[in-house]
Amino acid sequence: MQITRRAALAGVALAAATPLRLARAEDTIKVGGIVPLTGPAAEAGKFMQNGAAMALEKINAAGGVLGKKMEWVIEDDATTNPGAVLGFSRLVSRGDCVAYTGSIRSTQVNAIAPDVEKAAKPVMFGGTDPTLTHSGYHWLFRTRPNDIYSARVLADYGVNTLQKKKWVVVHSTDAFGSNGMKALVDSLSKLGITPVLVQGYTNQQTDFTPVVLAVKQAQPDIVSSYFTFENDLGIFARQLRQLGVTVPWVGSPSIINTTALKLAGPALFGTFGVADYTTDASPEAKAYGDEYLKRFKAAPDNQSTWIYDALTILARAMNDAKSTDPQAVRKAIVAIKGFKGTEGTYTYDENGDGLRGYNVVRNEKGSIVFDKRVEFTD
Amino acid sequence: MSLLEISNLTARYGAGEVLKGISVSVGEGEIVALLGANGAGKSTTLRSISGLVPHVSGTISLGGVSLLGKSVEAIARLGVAHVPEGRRVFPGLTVTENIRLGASNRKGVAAADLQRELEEKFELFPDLVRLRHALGWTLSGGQLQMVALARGLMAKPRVLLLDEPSLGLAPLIVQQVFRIIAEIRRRGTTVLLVEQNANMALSVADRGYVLETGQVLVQGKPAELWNDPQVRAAYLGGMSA
Amino acid sequence: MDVFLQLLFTGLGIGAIYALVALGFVLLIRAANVVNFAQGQFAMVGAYMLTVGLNVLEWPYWLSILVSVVLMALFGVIFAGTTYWPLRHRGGLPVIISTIGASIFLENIVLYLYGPSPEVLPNLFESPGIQVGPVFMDSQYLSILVSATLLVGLQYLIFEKTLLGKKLQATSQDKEMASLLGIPVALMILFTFAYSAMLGGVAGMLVAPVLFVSVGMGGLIALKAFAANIIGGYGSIPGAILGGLALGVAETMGASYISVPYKDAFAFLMLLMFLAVRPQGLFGEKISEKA
Repeated sequence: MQITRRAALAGVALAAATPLRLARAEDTIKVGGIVPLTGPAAEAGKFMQNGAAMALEKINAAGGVLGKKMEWVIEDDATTNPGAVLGFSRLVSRGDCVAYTGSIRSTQVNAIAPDVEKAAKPVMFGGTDPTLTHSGYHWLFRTRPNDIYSARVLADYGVNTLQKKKWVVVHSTDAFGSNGMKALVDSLSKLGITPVLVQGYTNQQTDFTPVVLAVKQAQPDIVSSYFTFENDLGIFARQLRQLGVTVPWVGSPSIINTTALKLAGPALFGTFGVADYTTDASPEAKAYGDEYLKRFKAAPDNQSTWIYDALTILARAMNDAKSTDPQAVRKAIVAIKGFKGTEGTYTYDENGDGLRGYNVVRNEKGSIVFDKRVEFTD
Repeated sequence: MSLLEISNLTARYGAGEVLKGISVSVGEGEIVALLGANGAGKSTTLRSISGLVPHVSGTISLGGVSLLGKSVEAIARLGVAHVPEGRRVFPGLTVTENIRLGASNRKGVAAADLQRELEEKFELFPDLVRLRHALGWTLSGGQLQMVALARGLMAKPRVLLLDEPSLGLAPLIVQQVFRIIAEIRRRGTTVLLVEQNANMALSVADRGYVLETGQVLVQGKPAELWNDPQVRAAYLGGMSA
Repeated sequence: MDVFLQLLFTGLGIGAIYALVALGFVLLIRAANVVNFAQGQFAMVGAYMLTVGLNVLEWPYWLSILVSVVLMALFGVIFAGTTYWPLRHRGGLPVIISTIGASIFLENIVLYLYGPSPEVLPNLFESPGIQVGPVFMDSQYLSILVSATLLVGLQYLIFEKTLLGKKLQATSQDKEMASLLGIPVALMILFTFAYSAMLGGVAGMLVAPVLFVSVGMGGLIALKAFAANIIGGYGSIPGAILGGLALGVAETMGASYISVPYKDAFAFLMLLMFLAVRPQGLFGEKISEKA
């Protein structure tokens, strides 16, 4: 009885450990990753593991990396910056990882960036803060488009596709909102347009009447927005509609996120947003989305696609380089041109950016539908 | 057996022992005065009876029921009404409301009866009639003392504890207050009175106790106390107005 | 003028919420000398109770509110028993720290029980609102204004016209004297906690359809309610009401006519001005004569 129980416990322990060490064979190519297993993003962490599992399965079914199976070993980042730093240093001290994956949250990528440089091995990440690839870091590679492109796409779509000239820009005064506003005003001025009103607000407001009235008085033919928190977006959206502003509205990614849709409801119907992953954007995105839905009975989002692309690109780069030597792998990533991933078509530059476009999506009575892909070459 | 029986009472605040074994008895219908200098333990004796002093030992009983260890509110419900030093009239309530709340210790009294009793208090204190709706904080010292007395009487107390009713009042007002105390006694209410103004106190009291540093120095009828040379020298002499 | 009226309407609506939270805050200061830093979290807990009633149990609106209000009163008693009672003889600071701890605990326990995803609640009335001339009146803002008026009226009746109210006032003015009169002081304080939690909870329920239900919603309101308190006069009941309304209107007007990003700054500028020029606030002088 005693032995049976112990055996059973061992079995349970083994089963629990298995998903984390997919190929237990001695000889695997190991990529280390920090994942939010605990903390506010724990649910997103699950989506991330789903995406990674799908990527590894596909890579290994196609022959793996350099004749070996690829393995993803993970540490918890607790959804905090110190957690990310600790998790990353644990991975580095293992000594057997040839590359790493970071976080979808820019602030955590920022936190580990100095250690990434010390580790001197490629690190794939999903944060969209433009500065992460423009601060001289050598080893960071992004698998989502950065925020400069979201502004460009918003401006391009509003001016060229919707043919709107009288712009109002509403933005949070925090770093994200201010940078987004600057990028948007910049992009608009390149298209020959000066907004009739640029209106900032501080996060976490109880009421947006003053903002809405200012927007209304400016009599725009299009509203654009950079909101940080869904609560603010929801209150603003409702009051905007209540006070009779019905012109088209293009917004930063938060305008189409699930929470915002739930909070604002009909007030956001008919708005346009930008999204890095949309199921209908490309055959690759569609194939991934269908399989994800089949396996996990849930709609996929960018929480899983960026890591799927990250592992796929790493595998491809190592196979191209015929080596796991960090410098060789880095060179192979930078050399990638026209690789079709789930998030778009990757062509890497020296900075570590591979994507230069966003999908424009439309809120069709509460569901998000793909409108068009806007790509830039520079 | 007297109504209020205190024997061998000791009380402490923190480290210092304020009462060191005091025995006082108050008979039904009596006015008993506690005299003595500041810090002799007079107020503490009253506060101990009301349950306001946390560390007491000895016995305190009212009509044979022990008060020791009972809560302040329970003691009030047993019929002890305490008119504390400084009157403690509620500043944000009107005169009527203040007096009305004096009956908070009584359960199941009809509203009409309470209203009648309230009017009786205004008869007893005619000066308060025009101040019915004045807030507590607007009253003068004498007026406050009358409200406090009326409030105490609303409790229909078996024993009324009066702490320094003359303190801070003009001589004319003091005399008025003591006339009322005499009237209260005439109506049959038992009173335990704490006073520094020994002359006034002994003029209405049946018996008196002189306290010194937490102990009873001497007790007796007013005349006996007047004639005790020791007492006279220590406490009464300087006060013969 | 049109803009002014619209701003006035929303300013009063949001100000009424500040006022309700401030009112619960003041009552505890007066009755128990407790500066309750969890007053905003009372609103949050109330909003979540309503959310459970409406979205999870799918009860009708009136039943959800009724049950939530009763539960909030109970919650107030439990809060008093755990946060205040054990520390009541230790003076103000330990209780303040205890309420700060409680506010953090409440946010985390709700986060744990309900999860981080914010919730949306329908307006009390189905109609989104009515257009009165140039002013759009959101039906929920109307509900807030009407309910706040009713609650203030109810409170006036309880506190000024009943014996219970007089006993509550007596307790808040002089606890020792109240107990000498045989007023059950502990019961009065418990009642105040229950009532204060109920007020806070109702504020949260009323504002939930406007602000959405999230764990952080309480802190947002409580900060303004605290400022309303100082502006109105620390510990003053009419001050809390007028301070809340004044703050709501002032910050909305300030945001519109001066600068939106500095909206929150107006609230605190007003606070600083009052502290410097009239520290007793609008109604802070002694205890004002009543009508």
